[in-house]
Amino acid sequence: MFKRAGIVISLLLAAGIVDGAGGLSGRIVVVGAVPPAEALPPGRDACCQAAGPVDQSVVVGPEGGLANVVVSVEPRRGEPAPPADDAVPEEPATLTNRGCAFIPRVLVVRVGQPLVLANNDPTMHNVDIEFVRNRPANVVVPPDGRREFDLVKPERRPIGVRCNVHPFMQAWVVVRDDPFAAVTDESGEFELAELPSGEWRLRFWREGKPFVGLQIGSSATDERGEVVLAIPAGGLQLGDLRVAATDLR
Amino acid sequence: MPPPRPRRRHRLAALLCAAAGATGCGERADSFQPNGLLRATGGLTDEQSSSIDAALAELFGSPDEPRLPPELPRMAELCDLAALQQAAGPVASHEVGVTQGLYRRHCARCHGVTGDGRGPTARYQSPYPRDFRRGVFKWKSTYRDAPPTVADLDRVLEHGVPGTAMPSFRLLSEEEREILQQYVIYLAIRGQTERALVSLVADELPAGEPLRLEGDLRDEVMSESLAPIVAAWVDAESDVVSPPDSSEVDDRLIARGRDLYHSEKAGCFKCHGAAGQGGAVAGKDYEIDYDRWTRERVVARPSDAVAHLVRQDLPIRPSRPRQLIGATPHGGDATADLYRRVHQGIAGTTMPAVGGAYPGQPGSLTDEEVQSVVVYLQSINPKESPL
Ligand code: HEC
Ligand code: HEC
Repeated sequence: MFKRAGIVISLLLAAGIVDGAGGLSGRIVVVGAVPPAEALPPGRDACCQAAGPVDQSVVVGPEGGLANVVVSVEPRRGEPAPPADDAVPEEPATLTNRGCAFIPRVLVVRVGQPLVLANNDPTMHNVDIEFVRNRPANVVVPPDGRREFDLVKPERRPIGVRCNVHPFMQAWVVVRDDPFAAVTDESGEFELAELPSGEWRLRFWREGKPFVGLQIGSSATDERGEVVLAIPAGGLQLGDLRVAATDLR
Repeated sequence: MPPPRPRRRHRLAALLCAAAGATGCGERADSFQPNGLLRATGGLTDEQSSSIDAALAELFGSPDEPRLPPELPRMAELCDLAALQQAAGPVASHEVGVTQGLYRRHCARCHGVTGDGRGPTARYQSPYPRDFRRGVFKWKSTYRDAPPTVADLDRVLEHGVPGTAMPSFRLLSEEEREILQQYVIYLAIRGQTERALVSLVADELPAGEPLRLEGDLRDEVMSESLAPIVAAWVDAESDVVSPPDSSEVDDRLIARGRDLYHSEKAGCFKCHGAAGQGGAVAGKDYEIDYDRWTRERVVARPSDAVAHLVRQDLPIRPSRPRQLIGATPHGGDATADLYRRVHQGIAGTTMPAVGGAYPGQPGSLTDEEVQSVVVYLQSINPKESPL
């Protein structure tokens, strides 16, 4: 169910007034048949051959939910931004090499929260992270190895992560200085529980690119994957956002 | 208040040049080439793109008339304006013994007037000449993410990069090399600034809004984005990786290095092959990986404009793990060079680091283990003559 919040809310926001618990949630669902994920050439490492890595650029759950879509609040200059808490989690955000794949494929980490690179495979991996505002890194992570990094600034875009020894491996890291980014899970669901009521610019990204033309109520995401949504005090439940399977690849 | 229309600088010239392909463009000298791919992937409009050209011209001047932005005072610690003026402009000699236009005379045919690595002869070289605009360099003494020191650049100019088209400029005077080295830093910082401004327009300004570098926005860009770029260059000296005092080289150390080279802990053999024979032999899997400069073009958001620019550009070549036996290292074969290479990997390339990413951070190999790998490399590839 999609509720378009009225003009009153917009006016309140224009005046910079934020109230109410808010919250935004929804589910992204693929309509139409999604071809089975293609097997990736696993290279020469026995453990990768055994793991049988597959292309995870489109991960669809049993009910059609689309995983790994990043939903975040991205105010442009001059637009209001929701006030962020400074409760940065102390436990690290961990990106694990397992079965010659990065787990999770999309990791959200807060500035100030340790980013840990771990390896559960019997083969070494290297983790090449193309940070823009933080130090870019390309380090070897041996079996059972662990490398820890500090992040000092939020990144404007999800940052690509690769392993150059197994170039088929791919992940994305989203670095935030607020709690307003979520990733759709295996059932396609996402929730920005802490998003206060107000009118905010939301961005939908998938596989490092804007999710263009996602229909949300009467609007759709633009070329940048963005759409402005008004969140009422009671929160906004977007329900199912449908995307055609043919638009995914 | 509607923003004023930015000056339309050389739009037509840039378009004609793009149509002519990479070759020939390097010779256009009255304006720097915009990084078209970066702007197209950022989804910039023509108006936004011209506004960035105008801002860059205001900050850094032109290939004939370099400028240093007064708000970045530390740039003067790296580049002397008089030196930049002597490096810039067309080749001329007004005074006996003083050559003007040193960069165009010695470097532009490979590195391009803009320093984009797309000079008229670039296409025929492998590796391609460095694109300075990312501020990323391979053969340096610093931690992976830090710029090279002045001494690193001097060394590249003096010795060239053996095994590549990059020649030695030993025959130039020390003073001329220093001028050219400063000009490289100037082009790099200009390119890094272009990248920062494109990101600002693409990701932070309202859709379609051109850049007006003034007021609060200007102050913020200077202090948040550009001053840190300059500071990293100025401070590179303090980011140098120090090799340990050379340890006794004995068979045990070499054996330890050999074991590590072939181990899952370091993984060198996966890219360079069990015998150091290089990626061509190590397997076809590695054919599909690319360095930083190329990868951007491979993953660029496909739109007609981007696809067109990629087709016009230098042909895309995959990155290949180097052959380690019977070949001169490109970055120097002294123990300290190889130590830094292995410790930090090679910036901009697929070769990863096994040492800590910054001083004090534990790596996946200890410094001593790195040293053992180095002596192993030297044992399988003894140097013919000292540099
Ligand atoms: C004949 C072509 C050619 C000419 C002329 C040339 N270069 Fe290069 N240059 C190259 C190539 C090719 C590379 C890339 C080497 C590599 O990737 O290992 C390079 C790399 C470099 C680098 C990067 C080194 C690093 O650590 O990454 C610098 C700096 C440089 N050149 C400066 C200059 C300057 C300054 C001049 C003029 C004085 C010049 N080059 C002239 C071909 C050339
Ligand atoms: C993911 C693949 C990869 C791994 C793993 C890797 N390398 Fe490399 N290495 C490369 C590539 C690619 C180059 C060529 C870089 C260039 O010049 O552009 C290279 C270049 C080199 C060079 C040449 C340096 C020079 O000055 O020319 C040495 C030496 C080297 N590697 C040693 C090692 C050692 C030792 C290890 C293990 C600790 C290792 N490499 C691991 C990809 C790799």
